[in-house]
Amino acid sequence: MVESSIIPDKTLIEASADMVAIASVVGREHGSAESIEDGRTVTRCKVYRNLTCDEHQQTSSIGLKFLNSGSFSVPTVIWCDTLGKEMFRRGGNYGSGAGADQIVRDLSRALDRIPGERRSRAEYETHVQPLDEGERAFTERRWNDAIKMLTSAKNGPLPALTKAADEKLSEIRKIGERLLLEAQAYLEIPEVESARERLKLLSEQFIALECGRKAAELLKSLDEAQSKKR
Amino acid sequence: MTRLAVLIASAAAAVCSAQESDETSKKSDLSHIVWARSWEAAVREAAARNVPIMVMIVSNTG
Ligand SMILES: [Zn+2]
Repeated sequence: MVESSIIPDKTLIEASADMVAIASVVGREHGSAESIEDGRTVTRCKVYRNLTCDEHQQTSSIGLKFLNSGSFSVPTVIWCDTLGKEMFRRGGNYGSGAGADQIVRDLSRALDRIPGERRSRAEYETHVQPLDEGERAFTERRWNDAIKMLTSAKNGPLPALTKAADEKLSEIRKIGERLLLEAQAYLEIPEVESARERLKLLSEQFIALECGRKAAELLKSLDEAQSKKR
Repeated sequence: MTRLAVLIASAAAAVCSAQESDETSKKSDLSHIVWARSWEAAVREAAARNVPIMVMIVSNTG
């Protein structure tokens, strides 16, 4: 019933632009089908149409966060605030055909409880992309790419994502500043090769930051001093 | 083609593909509900967009 009458309902689909939906569902008997995404043919679930059946298996246990008794009505719809905390729920009370309408009414009740400006999914997706890429580059220690993507995310329109990007950039800045301190300490000893190794990394990978530019200057004067010696 | 002609052609192609992708995204917004891939992704999106999360429990959970 959910799969045939609620999820494909046009009014609900339209209204769903103002929410984030997540499904807790086990099973794949409903089957999958080919569809076109970005001009490519891909296999997607017939019901949860942007996901593969494997992907919705991965979210299948989310219901456990909210259900503490062994039995519950199907479907149960739980409405959460922007922190993921439950506001209210409705279980089973979705008469045939009217179910989607009830969900749309519940959505507007949920929206009433969340004041403030809404942002569109399109805006979110455009903003979250450089943030995700920046975070991936950070994990893989590709500092140049991370700085570039996170700086772009920092200038995006959504404050929550801007903040996340800014925090990650601060972490990178700290890593770079520590490398620079280490390099300067090695120069004092002097253990020039260890210093040079860090300065080189900084000037190649952190050049968009103050520490990278300082490292490039130090490296240049180090090279000049050494060529004079020769 | 002259360099200018190449530039104009590629600019036109860029405008064209931007329009196409705009329309595709509008269509896909309207053709089905978009489901989140993880709880963390759902909460991050809800917070950034200031919208509620709908958890639909459809079958007995694993
Ligand atoms: Zn499926």
